[in-house]
Amino acid sequence: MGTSVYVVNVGIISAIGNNLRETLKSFELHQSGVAEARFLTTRHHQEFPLAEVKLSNYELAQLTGLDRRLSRTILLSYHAAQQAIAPFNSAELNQMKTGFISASSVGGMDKTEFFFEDFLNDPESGDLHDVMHHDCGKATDYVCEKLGLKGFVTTISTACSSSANAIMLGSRMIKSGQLDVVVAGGVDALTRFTLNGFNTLMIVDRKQCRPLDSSREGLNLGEGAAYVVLMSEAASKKFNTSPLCEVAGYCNANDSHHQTALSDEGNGPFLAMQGALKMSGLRTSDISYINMHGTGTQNNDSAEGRAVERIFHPSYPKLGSTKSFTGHTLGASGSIEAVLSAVAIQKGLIYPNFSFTDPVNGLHLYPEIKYLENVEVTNVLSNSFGFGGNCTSLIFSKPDQ
Amino acid sequence: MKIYINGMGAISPQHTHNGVVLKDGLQQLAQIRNDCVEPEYGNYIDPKQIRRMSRIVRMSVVASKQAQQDAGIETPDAIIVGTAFGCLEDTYSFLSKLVQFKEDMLSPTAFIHSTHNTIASQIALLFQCRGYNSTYVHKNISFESALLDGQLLIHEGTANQVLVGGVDEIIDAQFSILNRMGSYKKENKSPISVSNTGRSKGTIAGEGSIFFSLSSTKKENCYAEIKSIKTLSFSDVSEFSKMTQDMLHSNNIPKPDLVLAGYNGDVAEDAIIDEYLKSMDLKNVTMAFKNYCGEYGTASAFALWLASSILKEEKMPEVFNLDAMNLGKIKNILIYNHLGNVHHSLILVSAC
Repeated sequence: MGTSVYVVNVGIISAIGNNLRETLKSFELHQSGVAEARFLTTRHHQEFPLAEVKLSNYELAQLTGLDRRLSRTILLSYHAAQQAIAPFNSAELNQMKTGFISASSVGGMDKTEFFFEDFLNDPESGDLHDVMHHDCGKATDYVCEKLGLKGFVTTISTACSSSANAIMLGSRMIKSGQLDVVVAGGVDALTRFTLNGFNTLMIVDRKQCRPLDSSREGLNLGEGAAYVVLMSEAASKKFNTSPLCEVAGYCNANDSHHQTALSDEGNGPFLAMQGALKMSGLRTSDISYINMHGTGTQNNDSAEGRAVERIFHPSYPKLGSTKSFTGHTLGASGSIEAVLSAVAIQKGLIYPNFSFTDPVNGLHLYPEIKYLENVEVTNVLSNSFGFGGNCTSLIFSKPDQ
Repeated sequence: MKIYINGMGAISPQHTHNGVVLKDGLQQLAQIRNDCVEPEYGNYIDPKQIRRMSRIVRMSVVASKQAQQDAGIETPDAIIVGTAFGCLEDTYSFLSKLVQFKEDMLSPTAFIHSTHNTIASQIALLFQCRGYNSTYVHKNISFESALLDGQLLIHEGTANQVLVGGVDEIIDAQFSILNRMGSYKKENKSPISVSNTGRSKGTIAGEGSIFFSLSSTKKENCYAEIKSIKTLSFSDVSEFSKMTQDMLHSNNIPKPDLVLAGYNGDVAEDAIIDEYLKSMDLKNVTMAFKNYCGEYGTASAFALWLASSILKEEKMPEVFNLDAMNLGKIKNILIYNHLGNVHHSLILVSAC
């Protein structure tokens, strides 16, 4: 079985806050981060509201002390990862077997887009500084070096489940004894590339998105980054931590149906949830809350909802999607929602799916619409599903139950 | 638990796609840019499907099919791909139209196929594999990350037939950008040399799609056993040498019989390798491999293909100049690669 894996600290930045405190405040006040675009340079800025981090690159650079010419991806990633390891000294962490596992769907595309404006006119033009951070591994390297971590490093890119897989890999490497401490999570910055890409698929809502609602018309794109610090039992003791929760289960499965759509029955989501439950040894009635992938697209919410029904019918835990607040942050969504899940257990919270009125046709899922405090939250199931049928479910549990 | 390579499929700048071949099969590359020798796709894929696939997906589908057939496996339990740059052709196509048409009149096809995980998911669709599926995108350790994950899946008992691939493509735009950054040699001075003479700045570009069918069950067709996979990042050469010693020691191998090292012809990059091999006293059993596949993110997958072929066929490629070497029977091969002295990797394979 190997050691237990604990989440001992978290870091987060998204449209609803530059840190955890601001993030929770936004949930409490029902303040969505979805708004008219201010920072992304796009012709669609009035057409599609976005869940932007409310800081320019210049402001992010000031906040982090990094160079403002870096990709937004690096700035966001460093800001969140640095919060996560703030209580620790990286030199001390490095005395154990340490890993940094990040994830992203488009890496430094936010800068590559500008480079291409010049490059397409003349292959000898374009500032090379704007394209050198293009590949997904570059942001990981930059942040890892800046944090002073060394040892095992890698980057995962499985579209919208990328950072859930980073947390899963980190947990597996700790369980197998290969690593003791892993900083795991992911990042994505808003880009014209993704906005236009999702627009061609006609799955971007022109209004505030309405996940798990019958009136849903698509997703709102968002951006952000989040990281968890995972530790083995021994490392957690050594660093005298108070874990937020334990990683109790995980499963990665493929829907194997279509490049950009889930099967009607939600086969991939079903397998991922079922596998994570099986690993955790929990019954469905033990789950206190499901943080659903819940993007607000017709296809995801009905397929995911169908899979949830197949597993949980007839009695459902509290459930909902947090994407009406954060937007769909793509490669970062798995770790953003893992952080929210861990904090839900630690503080006894349920997040509101405030934009809900009527359930998805044919389904009987009623998400929680209010922010709940002082709730006993023992086990949280967090779903992340992506293009390419990449489905991953994670289960977090209260430690030492 | 042991991990065996039971099947391989390789598309590379060499004629590897038809199952060849160490004898007379390998050629020293003589160009700055070395594209793959591609197979007749119609022999492997339904022509209607070919048209819908980008080149990198075609190469991946064929190499993965070959690896599966070679191992006698119909559907793998898990699919893991390492790719440093992912689906560049479709990324370039969508990005350039986005810029040219100023975010208007775009079609979704290129976007859909631009994501890094397109390769692994297209293979999952092809084999109808609903098991574990992941994609690693970390520079020169993308393939090693995928291989480590595959090893872990087998050790955990999550999967027993794991398909692992290393895939990267060259496209004109990326070649020209990397050229401007000074990554490549300025003129055709190749082949890149392992000797100390004639080294200069820059390397030569390669690409490839190389897949392995791994299992804890040894098949008749077995090529090699993967003994160990390690990566180490942001650490100095002495720490990496220590890691190598520990790895060899724990496998009871005092010294590997052959080292395939990631020399790429760049004077600065190769100096790091020299320092490492010197510290390990391995220089006299070392051969380069990138003069056969070129430098690219997942070139170590080619090295693993080469090492596995040498172990199975029990002979060395004719093109290897072995005069200066004193090699005995080859039973253990160590593959070493690095990039910028930041990410170091080792794969230890043995005859099975």
